[in-house]
Amino acid sequence: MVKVFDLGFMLTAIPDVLKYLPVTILISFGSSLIGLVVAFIVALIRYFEVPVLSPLCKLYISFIRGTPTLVQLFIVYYGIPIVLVAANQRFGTNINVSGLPKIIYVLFAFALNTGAYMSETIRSAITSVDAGQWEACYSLNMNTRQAVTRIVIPQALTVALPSLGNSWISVMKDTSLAFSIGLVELLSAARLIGARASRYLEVYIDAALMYWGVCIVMEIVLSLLEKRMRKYEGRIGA
Amino acid sequence: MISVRNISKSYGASKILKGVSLDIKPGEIVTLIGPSGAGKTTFLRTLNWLASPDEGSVRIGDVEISAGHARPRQISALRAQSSMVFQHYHLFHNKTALENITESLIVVHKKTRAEADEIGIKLLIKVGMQDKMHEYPSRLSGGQKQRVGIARALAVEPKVMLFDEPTSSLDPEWVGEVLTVMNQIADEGMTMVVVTHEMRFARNVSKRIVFFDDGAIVESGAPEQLFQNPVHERTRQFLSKERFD
Ligand SMILES: Nc1ncnc2c1ncn2[C@@H]1O[C@H](COP(=O)(O)OP(=O)(O)OP(=O)(O)O)[C@@H](O)[C@H]1O
Ligand SMILES: [Mg+2]
Repeated sequence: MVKVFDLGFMLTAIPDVLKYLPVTILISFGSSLIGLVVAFIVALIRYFEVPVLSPLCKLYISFIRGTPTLVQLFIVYYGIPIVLVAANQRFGTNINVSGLPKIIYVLFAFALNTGAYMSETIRSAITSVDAGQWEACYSLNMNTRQAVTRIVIPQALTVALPSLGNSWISVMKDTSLAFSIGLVELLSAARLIGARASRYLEVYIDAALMYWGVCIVMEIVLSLLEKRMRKYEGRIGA
Repeated sequence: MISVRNISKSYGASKILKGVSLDIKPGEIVTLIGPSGAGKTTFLRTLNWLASPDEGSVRIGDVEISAGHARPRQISALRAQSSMVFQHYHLFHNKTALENITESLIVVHKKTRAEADEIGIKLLIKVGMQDKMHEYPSRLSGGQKQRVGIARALAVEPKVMLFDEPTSSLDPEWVGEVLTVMNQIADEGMTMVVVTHEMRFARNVSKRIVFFDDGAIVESGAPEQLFQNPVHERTRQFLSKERFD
């Protein structure tokens, strides 16, 4: 008799599925970190309303917000090789386009995606920093760069942290889209393993539990980090 | 020490400063008084170019800037002459009391942490805040915050200290301790420009009182003279509403 649900298979498949968890974690952390750098740059350009660049950044954010992540991934995946081939021809460079690992495309696409969302978070966090903090910096003859890096960004980051954490979680879940360009990560690994035994529900549950587990760990880490960063607000003992 | 020539400043369509000129001698303590919205804060902020005037010039020490010709280096040179104490303290929230003082010493004046700490601790002792040096501003009372604010402003060894209503956000119980510190600094010969509603300070400590109204100086004079025999009706009216206890 065919079992409706094979608990044994679900458990034995765990180690095989788990092997691909690092790929998922790598993509989510890697693209979040690159995205954070992008986000800071874009947020500062927008905050200081840098001519030319600021409207371009606005366009970029609007595009990312207005198109599905999967479409962005496809555009990067099919678009970058064309750009690189053209660059090779034009500048005589010798980039091995077909040899680029898929994970590079995925990192790039997700970094651009999450960078746009995070830049809005960071910009509004910077805006939320009291104007008096700037005044104090300038009155002490600090320059804008010093004010930004030493006073404004540290305070803005504290404000932005919960929201940045949510962005990370979105990216982490979106990594499953990498499957569509054939990158084997957690979800596609689960599907492949399931296909061998013709049992899918079990492995999808495995995958779900792993995504969820990573998320919970991350939430704990973030809340500890937030507590640490907020210690100056006086809610938690100094 | 300070020479302000014909400063004007507008925000949008409204003209906030209408040609203000003022000279202040080294070691002089000047209080600015006047009704809310008169432009006292704006005037103070032009002295370190936090607000850039549309017309006129500001000289402190040997640094002079004229409106419209301000280069970043000049602004920085002008700012190096003074420091400011704010009504709402504006202590760096993410820095401890000590770090609030050492921040600019390290970042702007390129002192080592050890040198900066030494200066910082000395100043915290001076304002009676050494016990709280590792506390964040959120855990300090208003009076304590303002004493740290004053220590922070002293640390950069300014030629002039600008005070914008340093006691106005304080509960009455904390006003005394801040005034004590200000008196002490006054006794040491610091040049001070103080916007205040604290008439005790104006009368007892300052050498000259400037009455500001509607973006211009209405009159100025020694405290006795201005309080007892104001020339202008507007000054008289303003003073009749202030408390002198
Ligand atoms: N950054 C700004 N942008 C626009 N308007 C401003 C700005 N700063 C000040 N003003 C306006 O300038 C006028 C004078 O303000 P200012 O703060 O200099 O007055 P004040 O004499 O210090 O008053 P108070 O006693 O209430 O502190 C006010 O009408 C205020 O609304
Ligand atoms: Mg004011």
